Amino acid sequence: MAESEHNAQLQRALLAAYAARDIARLPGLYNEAGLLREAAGDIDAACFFFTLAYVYGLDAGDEETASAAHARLVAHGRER
Amino acid sequence: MNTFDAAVLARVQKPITEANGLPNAFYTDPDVFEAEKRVLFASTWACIGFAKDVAGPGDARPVEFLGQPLLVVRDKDGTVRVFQNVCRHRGMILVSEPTTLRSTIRCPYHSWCYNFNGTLRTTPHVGGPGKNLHDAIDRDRLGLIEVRSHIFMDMIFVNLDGKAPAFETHAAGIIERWGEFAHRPLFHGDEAASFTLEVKCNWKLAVENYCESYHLPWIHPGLNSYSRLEDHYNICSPRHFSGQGTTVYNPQIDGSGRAFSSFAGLGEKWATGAEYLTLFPNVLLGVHKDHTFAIMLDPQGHDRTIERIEIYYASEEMRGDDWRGMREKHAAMWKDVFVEDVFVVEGMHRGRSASLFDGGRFSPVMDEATHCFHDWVAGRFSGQYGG
Repeated sequence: MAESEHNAQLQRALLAAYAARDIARLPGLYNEAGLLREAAGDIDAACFFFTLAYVYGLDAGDEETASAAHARLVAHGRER
Repeated sequence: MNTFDAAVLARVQKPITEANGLPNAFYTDPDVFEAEKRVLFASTWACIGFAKDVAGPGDARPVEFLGQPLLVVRDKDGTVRVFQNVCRHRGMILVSEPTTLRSTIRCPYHSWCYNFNGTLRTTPHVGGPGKNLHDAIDRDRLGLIEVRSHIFMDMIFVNLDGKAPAFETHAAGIIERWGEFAHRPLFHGDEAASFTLEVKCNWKLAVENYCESYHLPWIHPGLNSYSRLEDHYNICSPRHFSGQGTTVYNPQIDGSGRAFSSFAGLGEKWATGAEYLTLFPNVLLGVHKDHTFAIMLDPQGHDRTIERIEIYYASEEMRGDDWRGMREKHAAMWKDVFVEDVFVVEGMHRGRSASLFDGGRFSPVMDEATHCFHDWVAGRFSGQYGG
């Protein structure tokens, strides 16, 4: 899948999750967005998304995703 | 009349044969109520709620007490803590309704996240987008503001100014007197054992009415058949609590002969006795061989009070569905009694607008517990008892 198409797909999924107040979906989607930007070398954007994945992961009790996002943030010096 | 005049307070603290009750302003003046928040509540131990309302890990309950936004949270290890319900960032209210938190207390504004023990866990984008650290933001110094708290007989007490003696010291007398109840698990009877009354009176009038037995034959005639006035005695522990006891507690709930189980190992006194105490300032407590109850007074102003009543039983079995009907009848029985008191406390409140009323005279025999409470209020305002 082309990167732009993947981005657009993620964007639609995020908007749908917000519209449905489906907070449990947000950590995974934001983590995916973070990994996409990280692979593209855009670390600031990646860490923006990882931060949202981390916070919503904590909020939703999705410890696994929160932990994964937290690890990426620590690796980039953005979190302790 | 100056409410804080030393001579006025001294008159309240005279021996009961000479004393007047607290002057009208203690009931009618919003400024006095504002002063009470500091002198009688924030600097002592006040009840703000019940631990059963945060029964499970992550349960969080916002509480507005005397205008203070508080947050009660049960940690994963079972510890209950009380915090000021505000984010250390912009002062946003953190939790607005009772909820079960999963892993964090997240501020709904900029999503600063706190652990259940109040420590600050993350500060999203605080150093710019995707940068969650900044040298100026020392997370170790920006945890939630914890309020000193203590749980006693399932009641959550707080000392808002953090300067009162330890709760165990503050309540040593009642803990000793009621040791047989204070150091054992209590089993709340769920929604069938929980009700609220809203009364148009100053909170102190609810205390005063509760702690004396003088009114029982007139206001609660239903009690006369099995709990007569002469079976009651006064209880006074100056500066701490006062109330009444009875030597005849004879539960008659539904006439079926069915009875709640009793607490195990109680002393002989409790086979037929019961006691009703006010732990100053705002909890009215009752203990019996088969149940206890607590009434938290939640003042809403100088002229309005919410009474939260919670009933507890001796065993898990009493919480079962087959006892639900009994619990409902039991709660209804107590509610009838407490509702009978409403016109009295509201009538006394209206009476306090009588400008020439001098605070009243006490029965030297029957009003000892009320005088004990007034002495505590006056003593704290005069500085004699701290505060």
